[in-house]
Amino acid sequence: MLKYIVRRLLIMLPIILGIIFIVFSILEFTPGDPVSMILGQDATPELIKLKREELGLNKPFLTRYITYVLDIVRGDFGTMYASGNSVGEAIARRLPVTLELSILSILLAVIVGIPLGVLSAVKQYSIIDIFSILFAMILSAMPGFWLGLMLILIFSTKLGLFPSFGVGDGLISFILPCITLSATYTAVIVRMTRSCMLEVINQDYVRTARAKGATESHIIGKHALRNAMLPVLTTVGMYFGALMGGAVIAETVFSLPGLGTLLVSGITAKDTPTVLGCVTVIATSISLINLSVDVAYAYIDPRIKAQYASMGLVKVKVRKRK
Amino acid sequence: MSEILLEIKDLEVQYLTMDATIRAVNGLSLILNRGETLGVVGETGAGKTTLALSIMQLLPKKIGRIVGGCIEFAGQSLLNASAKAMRSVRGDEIAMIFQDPMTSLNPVMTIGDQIAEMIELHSTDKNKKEISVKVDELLEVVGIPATRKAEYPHQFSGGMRQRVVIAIALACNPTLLIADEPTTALDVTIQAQVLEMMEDLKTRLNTSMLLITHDLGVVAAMCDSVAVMYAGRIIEYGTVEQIFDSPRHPYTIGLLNAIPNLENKSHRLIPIEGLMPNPALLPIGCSFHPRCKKCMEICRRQNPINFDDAGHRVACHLYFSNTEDT
Ligand SMILES: Nc1ncnc2c1ncn2[C@@H]1O[C@H](COP(=O)(O)OP(=O)(O)OP(=O)(O)O)[C@@H](O)[C@H]1O
Ligand code: SF4
Ligand SMILES: [Mg+2]
Repeated sequence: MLKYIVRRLLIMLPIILGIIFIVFSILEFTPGDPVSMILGQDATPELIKLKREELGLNKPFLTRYITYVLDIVRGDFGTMYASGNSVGEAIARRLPVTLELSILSILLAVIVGIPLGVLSAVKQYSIIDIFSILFAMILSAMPGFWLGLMLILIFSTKLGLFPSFGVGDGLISFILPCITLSATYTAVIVRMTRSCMLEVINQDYVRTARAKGATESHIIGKHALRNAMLPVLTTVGMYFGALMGGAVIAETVFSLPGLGTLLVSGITAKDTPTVLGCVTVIATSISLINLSVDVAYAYIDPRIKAQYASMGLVKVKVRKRK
Repeated sequence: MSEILLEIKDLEVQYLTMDATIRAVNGLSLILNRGETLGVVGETGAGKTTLALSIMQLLPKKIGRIVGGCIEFAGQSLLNASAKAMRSVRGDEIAMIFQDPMTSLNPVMTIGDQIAEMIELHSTDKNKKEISVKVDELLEVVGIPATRKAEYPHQFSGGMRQRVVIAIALACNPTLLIADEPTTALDVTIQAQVLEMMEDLKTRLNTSMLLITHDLGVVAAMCDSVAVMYAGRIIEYGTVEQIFDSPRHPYTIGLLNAIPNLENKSHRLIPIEGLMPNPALLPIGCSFHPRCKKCMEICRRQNPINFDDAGHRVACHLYFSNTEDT
């Protein structure tokens, strides 16, 4: 297992380098020049030339890419073009907000989604089932920014129950953003849990459990749920990337000082170090989450665990032969 | 006379699917005495598993339905029993060995836990230690080293999984053991071992057994009496001697002819021509008539009733030469 984890961590490196490269290229080859944005329309050519040299933009593309990567490896995310502030510090300040938002949203989605999905499957075609299918449909049909705005309109502006922006009020200021962010996610979890449960309930081993004389709740809790959770877990992991993307929207709508808003401001200013810093951190966390989902998978399913163990071995043997 | 343990009368079971009502069991009656082993044989699709699931009341929910008849076990009607009463019967008094050992075990639970679960459910007075001792004991009985109880089903071969399934079924010393083709998934040598083991257990615990199988050889070796099933009915019933030495129903005769004869190698295997009728569209009259070489005019019109001769019962018009008058 440890070998497997190490191997996965090693594979992450080229993936993240690739992502940085792609984002770097996009920023390079899309129109818009950061220098003229900083200096304004009527800057003299000399001034522009000076600024370009100061920011290192006169060097060739590949040189800059390599320098940047080497800096990141040393833990240096560079400085923002406009303000000269450290990108690393800005990320360190804002990452906790995004993390809190994402983790709370996932928790909310799981706490609402899994029980609803299970109930829905156990009482297939009942009122509860119809309600939760409808609920999931509505949730997934609402675009994140629209839902966010509606929530602000109703619960902040009209009812004044929750703050409409910022994180000044602690946990309570996360409630609306979390609802916004977890909506699609909850819908996915409800539907996945329901269909996986329905499938598992008809499996032979569930019938075996019935034949033992177990109660319905014992059968669901002890036999069906754990087996149904395997594919649900995969989906949860897969959608985590989408959730991070959604975090950008939720942060923007609720003006939360998180990574998402930093990323958006970086993109508008064509501030390469800021964008790259955010993207690198987001990509790394998505990869890490996916890895932990896979590891969790192995702990739920003994068959997968055996597979991982043997995968580690095979790899080692191949390397030794070289 | 021996005491009746299980009595089924005129059982009718249907599966409701999207586009058809499948009549899997049609007016089936049988009696099983205490300590006796009854073999149920028949082609695939005859309704054998359906019969077993009906006794356990484990027919697939919403799809499978018992529409008529009654099932009495130890004097208690199972069809009217409450869900709670049924739970205490399942596993404890009637245990079932399922047809497919590869899918019958929970893949994410150790085999030891799956056996222990059965004991926990029915003997609440036992503590963890006693249960663990009992699990070891059961594993030894079915020939699996107790040291492997912390392993998961995927770490065992098909034959070993079948033994685990058997160990689960035996955990609470059931009065009735329903074994649905316990050996079909196994290769021949393992088959013999498993059967021997079941036979041994049966005699030690005086368990009654309903042994469902395709294999007439297994019936000859294990059973006291035989019920031949065709299209959801028992078309012939008798002791092993009666069925094997003087089969009466054309279908049974056909089945027995279909076994290759070891003593006379030139004797060709004679399969019964044709297929089982589609249980959604059962023919009128004797359900075997489209395949029967001795089919008579009356067979196409009237479903034969049982002809009883010293406990050897057969449902065929051949033995009622003048039934039409009665
Ligand atoms: N869940 C189900 N839904 C619909 N039809 C079913 C279902 N289960 C069984 N049947 C049908 O009922 C009939 C009897 O099936 P059953 O499984 O009892 O046969 P069997 O005698 O056990 O066969 P085998 O020897 O192959 O196990 C078959 O025609 C089958 O197609
Ligand atoms: S009743 Fe008629 S058709 Fe049916 S088995 Fe007997 S002879 Fe054949
Ligand atoms: Mg069957």
